[in-house]
Amino acid sequence: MKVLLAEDDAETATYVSTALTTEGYVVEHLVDGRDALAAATLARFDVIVLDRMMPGLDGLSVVRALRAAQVDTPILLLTALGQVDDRVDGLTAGADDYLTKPFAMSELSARLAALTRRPPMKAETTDIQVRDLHMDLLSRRVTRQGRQIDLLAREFNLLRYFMERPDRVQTRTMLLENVWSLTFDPQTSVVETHISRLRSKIDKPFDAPPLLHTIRGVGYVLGR
Amino acid sequence: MTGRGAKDRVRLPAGSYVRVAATLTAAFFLGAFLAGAAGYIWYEQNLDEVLWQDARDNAATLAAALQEQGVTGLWREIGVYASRPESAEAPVFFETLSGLRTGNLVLQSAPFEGPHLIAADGSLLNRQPLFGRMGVLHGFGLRTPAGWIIAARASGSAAETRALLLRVAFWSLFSAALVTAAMAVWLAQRSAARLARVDAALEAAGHGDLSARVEISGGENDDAAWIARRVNQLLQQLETSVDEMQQVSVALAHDLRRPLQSVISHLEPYAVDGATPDGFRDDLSAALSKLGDLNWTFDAILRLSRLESGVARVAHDPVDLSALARDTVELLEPVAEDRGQRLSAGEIAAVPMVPGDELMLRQALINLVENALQHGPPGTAVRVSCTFDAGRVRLSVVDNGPGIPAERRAAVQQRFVRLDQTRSRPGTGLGLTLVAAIARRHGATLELDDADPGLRASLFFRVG
Repeated sequence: MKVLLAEDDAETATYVSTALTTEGYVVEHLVDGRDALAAATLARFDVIVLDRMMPGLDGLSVVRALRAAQVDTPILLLTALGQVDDRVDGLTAGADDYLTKPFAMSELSARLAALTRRPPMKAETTDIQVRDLHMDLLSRRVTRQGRQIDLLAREFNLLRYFMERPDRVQTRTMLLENVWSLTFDPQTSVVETHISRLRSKIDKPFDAPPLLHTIRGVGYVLGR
Repeated sequence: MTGRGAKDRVRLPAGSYVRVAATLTAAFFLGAFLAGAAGYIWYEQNLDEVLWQDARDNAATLAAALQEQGVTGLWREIGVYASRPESAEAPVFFETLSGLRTGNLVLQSAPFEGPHLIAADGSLLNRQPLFGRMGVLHGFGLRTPAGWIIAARASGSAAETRALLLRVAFWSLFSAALVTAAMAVWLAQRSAARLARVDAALEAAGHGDLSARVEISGGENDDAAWIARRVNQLLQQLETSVDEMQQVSVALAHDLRRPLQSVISHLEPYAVDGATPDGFRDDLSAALSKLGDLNWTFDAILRLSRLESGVARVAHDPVDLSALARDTVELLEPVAEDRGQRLSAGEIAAVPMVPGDELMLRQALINLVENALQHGPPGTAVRVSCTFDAGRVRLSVVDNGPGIPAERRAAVQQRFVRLDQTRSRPGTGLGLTLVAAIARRHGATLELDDADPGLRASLFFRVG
């Protein structure tokens, strides 16, 4: 996978570049916004990581220009500006995701993986299967190994989110944003609690390898 | 709605300018009345002087005529004089040695010498009666070798003049008072209006709009304009220093984030690497988690200063607070359960939508519930409710925990204030501050009350 990294801060760039290369990405690193715009337009990348504040041309302008030029490569904006307004601005300009500094590499990695996944499921899908776990979207019935599992509405929504993204790590922040529409960090262990409830319903009662895993320091994944 | 929209206007006491106007008018009336009264008394005294003098002069004239023309001559003169109608104002009297009287002055008793007051019926008076001054005469008697001469002056026309003067004085005083009153009302109203403008600016500033200024009207030497200018100066200084403070805290937060990112970048790879020994990985994860808390604090500081300085954009979309309440309970119920506490939904009624920023309001409500959970011991029960009452939507979180003592309720809404002075438990003291700031930007109020036991934290949103 080819990733374009446009980041003028040397330390961050090294951090990200090294980690992504280890994961198997081919990383092209640029420090000027204009160069990034040119490169993204001329070459074909799988994902672009763009710093919002760069010399030459700022990140938002690069995003707008790329979208105007019909370049639909997924873009993740990286920035020290972490307020809700900035996030909205970034997404409105055409970026697909927004990550604020300081960030953990595992977070960036998980989000890139989400951006580069295969096309999302079609709207006509009526049921999802992950290993021996089955979810019928019409009747809202969930079964594992044929046995029915009773879930509360919130547990169902959380499970559905995971089942739509099997084998892909979801970080705490991603869950907070996508499942509960929260753009800030609650003080209490909200995510952990809901995960453990879900686990107690879909994993504990079953004599089979657990499906919902915690990747320490990173997040959660269903499947692997 | 920004917080600068619907706010409760403090009304200036309604009677104040009416009072000023009334006082001015009363003062004028009193002053004019006193001056008039003094003038009147002086006039009366003077009048008396004049009348006495006149009587004396007339008597002297008669005496001279008597000497020149003898009794017969005087008798004739008096006869001619008395037949003239205008002589009623200055009647005269003559009594011969033999007791024969003539003249148009009626005298009941024996003639007298010197000045004396004579009543209308001819009797002598020792002093002016309070009423019926009209008929009283100022008489002057002379005893000559040929007989008694008495000349008098009536205060009649003088009394008429006096009555006329009084009437004139009263009406002019009355109309002057009316004009004064009208002027006073107008002036006082103008003054009140300008005061109200100052009040409005101060009110707006109190609600967070530090760019509010007083409109200046009136010239260089105008008192009210001078005050307005001073208030504007003060507001400008306030705005500038708040801006500076904001900048400092924002710069701090940004500058502290870079080294934070650096630390995370260095530690994180080891925390996720399977080759790292388990114990060490746990320690690293714990350390990274604490760094996350630190980041949260910076974020909260930034969020706060943006809210308070008005930089943060607050959306105006319709928000369903009942749904928000239900969602929040659903979100945090299992968290409470795990802590041995209970979170439930109280009365959640169908309430009108409120214009606002859903994400911010969500954060505010979650903050309030988490506050209740974190400060209460195991066994605490927390209830979230949403009701509509007297034109306001009330979103409240009630708990039966330790509560906040009344004297600390205002302080805890300030930055970094913790109830527990030792700060031994987790938390930064920014949670309630954020809620208060979000409330203010929505034109809503945050109230903390005693739930007896425990705390009731309510957000009131005015609708319509």
